[in-house]
Amino acid sequence: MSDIVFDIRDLVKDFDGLKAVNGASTTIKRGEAVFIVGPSGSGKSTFLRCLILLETPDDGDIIFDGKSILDGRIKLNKFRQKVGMVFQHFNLFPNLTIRENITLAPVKTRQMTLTQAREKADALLKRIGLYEKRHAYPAQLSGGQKQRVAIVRALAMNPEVLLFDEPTSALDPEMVGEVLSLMKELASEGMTMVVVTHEIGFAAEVADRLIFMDHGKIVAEGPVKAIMENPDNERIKEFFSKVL
Amino acid sequence: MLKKLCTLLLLLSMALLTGCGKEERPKLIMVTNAEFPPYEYIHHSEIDGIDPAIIRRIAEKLGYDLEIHNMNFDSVIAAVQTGKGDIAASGITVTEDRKKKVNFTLPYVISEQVIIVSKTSAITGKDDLKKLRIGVQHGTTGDTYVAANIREPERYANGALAVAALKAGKLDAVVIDREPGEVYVTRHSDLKLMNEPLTSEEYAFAINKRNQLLLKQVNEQLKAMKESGELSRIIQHYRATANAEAIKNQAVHNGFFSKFKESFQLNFIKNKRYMYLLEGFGITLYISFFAVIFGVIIGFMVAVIRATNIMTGKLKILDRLCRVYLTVIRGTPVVVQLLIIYFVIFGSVDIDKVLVAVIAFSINSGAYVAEIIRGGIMSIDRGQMEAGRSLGLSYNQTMWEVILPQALKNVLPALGNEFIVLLKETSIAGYIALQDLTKAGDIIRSQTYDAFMPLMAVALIYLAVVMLLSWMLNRLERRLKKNE
Ligand SMILES: Nc1ncnc2c1ncn2[C@@H]1O[C@H](COP(=O)(O)OP(=O)(O)O)[C@@H](O)[C@H]1O
Ligand SMILES: [Mg+2]
Repeated sequence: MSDIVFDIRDLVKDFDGLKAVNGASTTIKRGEAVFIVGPSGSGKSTFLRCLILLETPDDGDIIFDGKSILDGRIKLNKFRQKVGMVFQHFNLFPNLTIRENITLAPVKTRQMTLTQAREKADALLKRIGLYEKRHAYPAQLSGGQKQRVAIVRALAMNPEVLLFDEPTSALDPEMVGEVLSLMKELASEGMTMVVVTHEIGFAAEVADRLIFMDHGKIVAEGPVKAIMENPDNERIKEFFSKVL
Repeated sequence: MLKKLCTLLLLLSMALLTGCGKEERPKLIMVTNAEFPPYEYIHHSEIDGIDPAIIRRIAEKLGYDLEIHNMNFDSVIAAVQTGKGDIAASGITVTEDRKKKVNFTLPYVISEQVIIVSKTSAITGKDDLKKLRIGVQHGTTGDTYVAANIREPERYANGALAVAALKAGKLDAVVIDREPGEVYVTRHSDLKLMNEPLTSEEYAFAINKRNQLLLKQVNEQLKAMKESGELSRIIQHYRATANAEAIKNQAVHNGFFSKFKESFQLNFIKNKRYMYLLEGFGITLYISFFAVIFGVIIGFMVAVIRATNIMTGKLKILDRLCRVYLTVIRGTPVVVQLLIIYFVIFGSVDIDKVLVAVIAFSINSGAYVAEIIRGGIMSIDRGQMEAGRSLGLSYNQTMWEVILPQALKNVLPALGNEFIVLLKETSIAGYIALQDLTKAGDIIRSQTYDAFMPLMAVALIYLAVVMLLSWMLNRLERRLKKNE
């Protein structure tokens, strides 16, 4: 396996003339925690969704593990099994119990038998302290609990990389901490992560690298401190003055 | 002709298979509307009357096995035209229009159209009718004559209903054939019959234009029966029976309760008439049950195809077909669909009518179920599909495991409502001569000349089933809600 998980080249996503992503290039290395920040509407979510092909890019290329995922030759479902995604609104399946939420994909994609998947789910739930809730339904959990279940649901597939799209924006303030600390744990274990967030403090603490997006372009990229302390761009300065 | 050949072949092969040497005779199918006493009516679950008696005699002499099919009067001529029946015997008046569609035999009765009015009415003759409300049985000569010569009449499914409307003050006069007219005025002492006939006419049997042989055979027999006096003996016998029956049924008016009890006895207990309701109810449930099952299967498939096309742009051609299906079915009345399926699509096939009804109602219900389920699928948050796909599940897996269970649960109340509507819509099954619950009420009414009791009974049975269904659906909904 190569050192580079994603090599993104001149990515463009066009929504009927609106270029939500407009020529973004970067690489995501294995084990790296990359954080993406930027004003609302700057294209962060669209960029992230392109990486798992929930949006189909209109131009440029995305190389995953050394192979293009845009040349039409990859098996889409197989590829997505290697990339996990955590959504702002959790998107747990309300018709399934907590444990079924976690075991559904490993079993249906034939990665594991049901028994294996349950063992794995139980271990993951124990880890986040929700083992007792394994037979409950999502509606019976708090927001923070839901998001932690969503994270381990993605983990159960043993992905090579996890994508987070504002995982704490829909949470009450008192629940943000539990989700962030789980993410921090994962980062320290060497999980490759790409995180879109407004939690600048958390980014400063965890990120190996920060990407600043504006108008669909990556306008700055590098260590968090360097970007925050020496913003070479008015927009970046303005952004940080607002969020800090 | 082809059909008869097929039947013959079938019978022949059956005889060979069973090895029994029993001689099989050709079949003669008579079609009628058994709600026109004394010409045809249902007695102890058998169709009896002047027409069946004459045809039975003719079939006997010609060596046919007679089969009698009961249907709406408006369908009787069409049935002969399309070959569903060989001979229509239903008190049919010979008219120029009908002559264009079928051949008529020699007339066996000269009948008159008469006017029934309330005893207190000031009407003295047909000249008084111009500005009044006139009731007729839909599709009868009375209907045609009044429409052409007097004014637009109010058309009822049968004579008993028109008479009931007259008694209720909704009409000023009813135009009807003399024989049933006489029965009605005997039964209802507040009605009278104007002696001067409105018009007179001939009754004859109708036969398919291509079947010259049968026409010739029947005419020969009719001529013989006329000469021997057998024909008038049959007619006299049934007229006398009908009059006697009407007199027996004449209500003795004293007090609401005894009147109610008497009417209850007459409509439900006497001659085991409640059996019509029971059997009809069985048919209604049978049709509804299977139509719901197949309707859901059809609707489910159409909904998934349509939703998939909307969400992914795939399945274009199938989606087109589904849209045509939805447009046609939702854009036409279910009665028309039922009649088209019976007379056109299965026009030349000998197929069980219950099956035809199940097919028609399934196809109809499927269209509504499809749109309900599609709405349910589209109402599920997009994030559910995205979450499934991001985990590496395929579109179909996510649809099946995640989207559909939620969608079905959301639309359960609407689906339940559709089932209730369907149950009630099957009440039109009588149009293809199925004896469902509603039709059972019609049959009882045609025998007792009483509109109130049978209609109330039918209404109460439907109501009870609908209330039971609603209650069960409520419980199911509440149980499913527990998971949230
Ligand atoms: N499905 C879509 N169709 C049309 N426009 C979209 C769609 N998704 C996003 N956009 C537009 O693309 C731009 C970038 O959106 P987004 O990637 O969600 O920004 P961010 O996540 O940085 O707030 C916005 O102007 C948004 O309105
Ligand atoms: Mg966003």
